Amino acid sequence: MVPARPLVAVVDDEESVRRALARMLGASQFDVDVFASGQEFLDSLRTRLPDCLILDYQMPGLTGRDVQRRLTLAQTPVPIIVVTAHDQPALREQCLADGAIAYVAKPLQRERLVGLIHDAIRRRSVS
Amino acid sequence: MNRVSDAWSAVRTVEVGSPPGLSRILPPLLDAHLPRTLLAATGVALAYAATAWLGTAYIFPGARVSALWFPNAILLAALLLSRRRDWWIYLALVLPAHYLVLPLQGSIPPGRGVIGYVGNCATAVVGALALSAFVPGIRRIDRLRTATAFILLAGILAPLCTSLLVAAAAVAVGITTTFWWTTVARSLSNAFAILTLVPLILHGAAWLRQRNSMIHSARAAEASVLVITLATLGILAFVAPDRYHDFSSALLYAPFAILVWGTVRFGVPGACGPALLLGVLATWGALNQTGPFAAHSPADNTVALLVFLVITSGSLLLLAAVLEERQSLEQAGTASEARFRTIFAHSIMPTVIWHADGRILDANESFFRLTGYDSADLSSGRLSTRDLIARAGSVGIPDPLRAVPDLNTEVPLERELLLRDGRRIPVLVGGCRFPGPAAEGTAYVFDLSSLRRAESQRRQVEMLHSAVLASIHDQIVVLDQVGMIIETNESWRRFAEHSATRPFERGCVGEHYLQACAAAAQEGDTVAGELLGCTRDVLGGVSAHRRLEFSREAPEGLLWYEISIERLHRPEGGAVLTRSDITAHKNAIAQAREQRQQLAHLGRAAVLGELSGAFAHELAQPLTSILGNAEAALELLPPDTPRLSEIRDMLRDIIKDDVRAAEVIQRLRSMLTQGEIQRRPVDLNQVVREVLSLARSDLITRNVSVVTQLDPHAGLVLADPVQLQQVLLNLIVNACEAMSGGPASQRRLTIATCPVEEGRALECSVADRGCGIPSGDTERIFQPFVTTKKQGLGLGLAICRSIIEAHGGRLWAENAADGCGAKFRFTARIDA
Repeated sequence: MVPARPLVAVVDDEESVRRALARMLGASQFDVDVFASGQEFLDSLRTRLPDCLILDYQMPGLTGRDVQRRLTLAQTPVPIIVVTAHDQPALREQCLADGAIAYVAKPLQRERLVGLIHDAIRRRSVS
Repeated sequence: MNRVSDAWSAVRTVEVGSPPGLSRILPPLLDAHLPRTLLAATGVALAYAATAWLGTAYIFPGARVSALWFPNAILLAALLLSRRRDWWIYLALVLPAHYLVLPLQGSIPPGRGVIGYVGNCATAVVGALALSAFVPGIRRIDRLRTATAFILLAGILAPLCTSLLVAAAAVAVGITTTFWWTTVARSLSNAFAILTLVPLILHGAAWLRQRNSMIHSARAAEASVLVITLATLGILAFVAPDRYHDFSSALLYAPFAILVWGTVRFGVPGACGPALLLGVLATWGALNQTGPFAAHSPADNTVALLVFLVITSGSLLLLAAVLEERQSLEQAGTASEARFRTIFAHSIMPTVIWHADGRILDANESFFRLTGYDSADLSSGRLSTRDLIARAGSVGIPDPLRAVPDLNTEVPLERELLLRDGRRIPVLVGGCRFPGPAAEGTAYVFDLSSLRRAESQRRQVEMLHSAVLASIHDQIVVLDQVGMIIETNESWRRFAEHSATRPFERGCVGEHYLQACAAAAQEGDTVAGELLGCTRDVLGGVSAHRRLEFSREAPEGLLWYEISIERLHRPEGGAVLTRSDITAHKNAIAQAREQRQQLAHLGRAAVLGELSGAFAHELAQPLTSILGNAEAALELLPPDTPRLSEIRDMLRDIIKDDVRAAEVIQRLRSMLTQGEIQRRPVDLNQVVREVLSLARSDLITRNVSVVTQLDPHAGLVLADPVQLQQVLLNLIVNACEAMSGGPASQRRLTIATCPVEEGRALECSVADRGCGIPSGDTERIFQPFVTTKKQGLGLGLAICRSIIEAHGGRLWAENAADGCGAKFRFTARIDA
């Protein structure tokens, strides 16, 4: 039996970024679900819970922080890796305080991102 | 009058073609005085006729000549009183009067009328001509010279000459046979009539011409008494002497007193009138064998009497003329003295009459007002020129031993005048001595006080004016209305002597500034041409103010000048040119403009900083995609596909470059983000490498080679890496700019790190091979707004030093030992 590949959800309003991350993570032995908005992702949680969430911070409508809060309120056990093009120390501290396991600035290097996803999945399985 | 003038003009045009001689007749006919002349001539003719009729009663026995013949005298007087061009009217109108009277003389032989008329006219005309030649315009016989000429020419010569001719003519036509008797009788009768009647007529006419010709009652009464007395005596002496036979001798001489009395009291009329009256009475007596002149025949008696009368009347006439002349002179003298007194008294110039012994005999009101003295002081004799007038600065006024000043000077003298209140004032004294033996004269005193005050004030104003001009830093030149230099200030003269480069900048007083500008303009000096035009506009009144700027190369750099041309506000016109050095002003403007540009740049940089996040975001997104795709492609490619190995290499390159771009974005983000200082242990060598990486493209562009001498054992310093990067980047950029002017082969940048302060700090040095730091400026370059660059605010090094000092370190600069380039060093505390 082939073990199931971890499911990674990618939430980013930029289509090219969603496609690139999907390809990169797919090539890295992940299953990838891409969502164009935070609301779309939250709606998908009724059917499927990803193993890790790659969440863009700066999005129109529901921002990454809004999604993070709602997940925290709903006590949804999804490890969140926040990615953003605006690297600000205060923002980093805030996201980590809200429960994100990592805060990464774009552009994203595959090796680092894949490492963070594996760490996130491992922690979740331990907890 | 206009009609007469028009007629006169018409006459003149007629004269062009008129026969000769007619032009002399026509104008008198159209003279505006003709009616008056005709009236006067008619009166003369009537008087001629009347006196001719009277003369018929005094015919000389056997001479056919009247002993009292007044018509010739009347005619002579009329000719003397009229214009010569009108004489012909009088002579013409006398003709009928003459012929009117002839029948009264009994039977008239043919030719007698003509001879008589011509002779009478000749006597008058000759006498008038002769008198007019010696005494032109004779109207009165009130001078000795006039009386003498009258007596000799009109009284004796004219009657004698014409009588000779008349007698000859009369003898020739057979009217008479007694040539000499006729001559003598006629001469004497005419002489007496002329000597008595003509002065009366002349003086009477003069009296009538006077505006206020009124007779005072006292003088009229006196004259009446004189006439009555004389008439009475004359009658008693010459007409009815027998009645008072015992007193006949006394009565004979009594009229002389009356005659003298009349002469003394009434002048010429007083001499001639009584003489005429006496003559009439005496002649009647002589002709009628009565009175003292009856010893011989009536003719002899009459001739003797006439001789007596002619001599007497002539003498009295001379006496009267002398007396009248003397009286005129006295009156003129009195009038002159009155005028002088008026002038003297009312003159605004203080004037005195002085005596040679120093006494002031008289002074006018102006003198009293000036000195404070009055007429009482004058009358008391206290006023003396010795006491009042002295040389300036002399002491001891009054000084009785001092000499009396000589006021008979042609040139006014500057002296001092002592006033009554003791003050001394500067005055100008001048005067002269009166002609004559009296040692007296007049002098004026002109007060110089106000003049001196005005002069002093003017000098003070001039000094102030000069001082102001000399104090003004700008160069000033004043032109007259034609462009001639009339004044310059000290600054202008200094500039002309030391700094002028153009000929017209060296102009001095008396030179023609516009001509110098024109000459320079012709040689191509555009500034001179513009200056010429502006100055002409102001001088010509086209504009009241013009201004122009120009620059000039100088060893110390480009100098800017402004010339302002203002109209000179005085009636004669002119202009004032002011030249100012505005180099500092221009430089300040340029610097301010550059600072504004710098601030704008800073603003743009700030905006960029504000937008850095957005830029970074926009760059990061596509880079993220590129990176993700490239990495995915790399993963998807089978490892053993030969052709695909190249693709794999390309993808690796894409990934590497993308990572590198991400690092640049990260650094840029760090550089532009304003955040608080975050000190942490920092590898200084790594900071150097990162900065060199950041500046790599710029260094390549500037052809600058980099040598690093980084101590591998250098520890970590406690610092904000971003701010350290800023300092290093600033020093590297400065070094590159310092070497930008040198050859590319010489552009070497050396960055070194080493421990200092016994290992408590690290030193980083940035050395270049550029132009070095100007001598004495190694500390000054760290001051704000001090820069050696052509562009820049001059804040970089100040900020760097501030950053380093905030980290507890030092930043300083020094020139290279070999004199080629400079080295900047800074220290940072090691994180213990």
